[in-house]
Amino acid sequence: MGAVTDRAKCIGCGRCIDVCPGNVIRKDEQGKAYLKYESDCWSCAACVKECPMKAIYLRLPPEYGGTGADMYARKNKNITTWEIVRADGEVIRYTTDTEEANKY
Amino acid sequence: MEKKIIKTDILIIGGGTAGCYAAIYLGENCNYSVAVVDKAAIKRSGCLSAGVNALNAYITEGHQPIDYVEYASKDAEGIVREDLLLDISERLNKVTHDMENRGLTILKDEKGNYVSRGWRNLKINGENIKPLLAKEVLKQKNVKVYEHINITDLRSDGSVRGAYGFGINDGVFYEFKSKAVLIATGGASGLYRPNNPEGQAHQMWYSPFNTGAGYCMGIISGAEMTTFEMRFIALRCKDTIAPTGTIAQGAGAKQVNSFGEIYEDKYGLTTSQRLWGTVTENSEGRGPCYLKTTGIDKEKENELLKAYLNMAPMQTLKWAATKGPSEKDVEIEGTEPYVVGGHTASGFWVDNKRMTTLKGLFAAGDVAGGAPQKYVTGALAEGEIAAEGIIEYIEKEYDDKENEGLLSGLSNTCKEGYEKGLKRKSVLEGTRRYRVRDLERAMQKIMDEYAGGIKTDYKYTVHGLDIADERIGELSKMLDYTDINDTHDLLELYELRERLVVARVLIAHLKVREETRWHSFQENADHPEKSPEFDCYINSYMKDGRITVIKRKLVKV
Repeated sequence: MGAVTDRAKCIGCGRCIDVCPGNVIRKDEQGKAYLKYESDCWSCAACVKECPMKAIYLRLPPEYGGTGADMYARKNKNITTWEIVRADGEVIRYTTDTEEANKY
Repeated sequence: MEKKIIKTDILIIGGGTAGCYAAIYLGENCNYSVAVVDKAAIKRSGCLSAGVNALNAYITEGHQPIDYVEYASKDAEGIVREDLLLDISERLNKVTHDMENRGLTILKDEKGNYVSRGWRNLKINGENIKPLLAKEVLKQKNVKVYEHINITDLRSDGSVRGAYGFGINDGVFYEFKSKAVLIATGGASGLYRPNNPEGQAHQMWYSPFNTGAGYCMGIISGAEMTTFEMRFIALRCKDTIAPTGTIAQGAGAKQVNSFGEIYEDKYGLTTSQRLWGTVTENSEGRGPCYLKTTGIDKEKENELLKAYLNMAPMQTLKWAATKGPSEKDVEIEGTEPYVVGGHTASGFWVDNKRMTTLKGLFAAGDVAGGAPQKYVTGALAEGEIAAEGIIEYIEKEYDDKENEGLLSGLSNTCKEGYEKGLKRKSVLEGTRRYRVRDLERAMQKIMDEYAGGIKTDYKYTVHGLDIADERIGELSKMLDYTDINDTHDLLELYELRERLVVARVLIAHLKVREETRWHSFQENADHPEKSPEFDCYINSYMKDGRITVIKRKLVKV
């Protein structure tokens, strides 16, 4: 587990497939992206940031605690908006800016 | 299999940190044609896929490059190449400023001075460091980038003159012909059973796609390797295996055991001692261990969550889905061991120009040995040093007289190897067959149990190593009986071959160091003390499939 695709939202642009550092994403018969080698995912989120449709996201594996959560991202130039959807329905948003250094 | 021949002056294998920076340097400082080949796309390939949170090798005001050499040498109990460390250290600040000019954000105070985290670390926003490097590479007119091609073997007739590989997407056999080669493929992960179970097996610290390709190519071509026995084991946030430095150094959190006692002072503060301390607290019944973060204010917590998005987003997801660091201490654990020359001294034995013992083959970054604590800036610096060395080599030493017979034979053997792999299914019909993944898991289990993995608290015995060696040898023979359906399976097969070769050499090195030089990293249960007899490098080379181990005297400055 790591990156998960939502085939209903996928437009088949192939950007996630190209950017993945592990060649783990492929297209299915309908031309939609899916994690063909799911257990090989590093959870680096390169694909998540690349997707223009929010059709690929990170899912928290059950071993890590909590009751499940998914994380979406949209990157526009230097700004990335992150959206974490918790199991209780709460949505937490963060904005990161590559022109702003980390404080720690 | 279709064959494509690509001629270039300089071939760079691996478009990660060191490889990209070397390509940029060659683009801006010479007119030679350069080919960068990567098994993924250079925008996010290598160690920096998700980003990086700090530059951990920088010489702040009031310090000198030699201070960095001393620090790295002390941390490695003296087993370093001080000459290599010094020329890297002298360039750390230059490459940092250069990266800033190319668009990397570095934290500054009101006066415009860098804000450091300790005396050798800078705070940055490194989420985009890899796309930034890739963009700079693509600007260079004399540099061409070849992506999704897996290189498996060197093209060598005594001098290294290129490499062979196959396209993961197009299934083409590629022969790169060049005057010199820079190998920058990173280190080796996935040798040992990882922290997380199947499904999350790749939730690891080091890139799971760094499979030891460069080491393997070098080893089977007879290159000398150094200090493989100094494994790297990272102390990481539990489960996510995210870095701890941002919490420990950035937020000032101390390591505590389950009784809340600060234990780090008891064991010493080198990288391996911090890990060993945690392992010992656990084994003596005082675990689990944590970084004490409870009580930090909400603003600090928010900054930490944002910082992790820029390098290890799964950690932020975990915090957001469970409890944040202000409410719950961050549990820590050791990872499985890796072989990685950017953190320890493992890798190719190189000269000052970064030429390996194979003429025409240069190495930089995690694949190059002798210089630990390189981190990102050290890899950049080493990429530049190697690039300079390559230009000099082509101008002064390169001999264009090729042994054509030998090279065309090599090319055919390599191509036939791929074709045989791809046709294997029909050949093996009805006979015993194994999935590559099952063999990989078997290798990881053997290494874990008999060669000092997590299971034995990283300790090993010579008796155990003998078992591991025999079992790894058996698995190597099973490679010919694997099920291959497409070029992705072929990629996995070659990655497993790489790991098995690295594992064999690692076992040989661990066996020869009859002392314990670094707790956990190399903890020989038969010889639990450090011995001055081993104030030397353990090097090795392979000839006709046999590994010979030699000792070399330490190089000081």
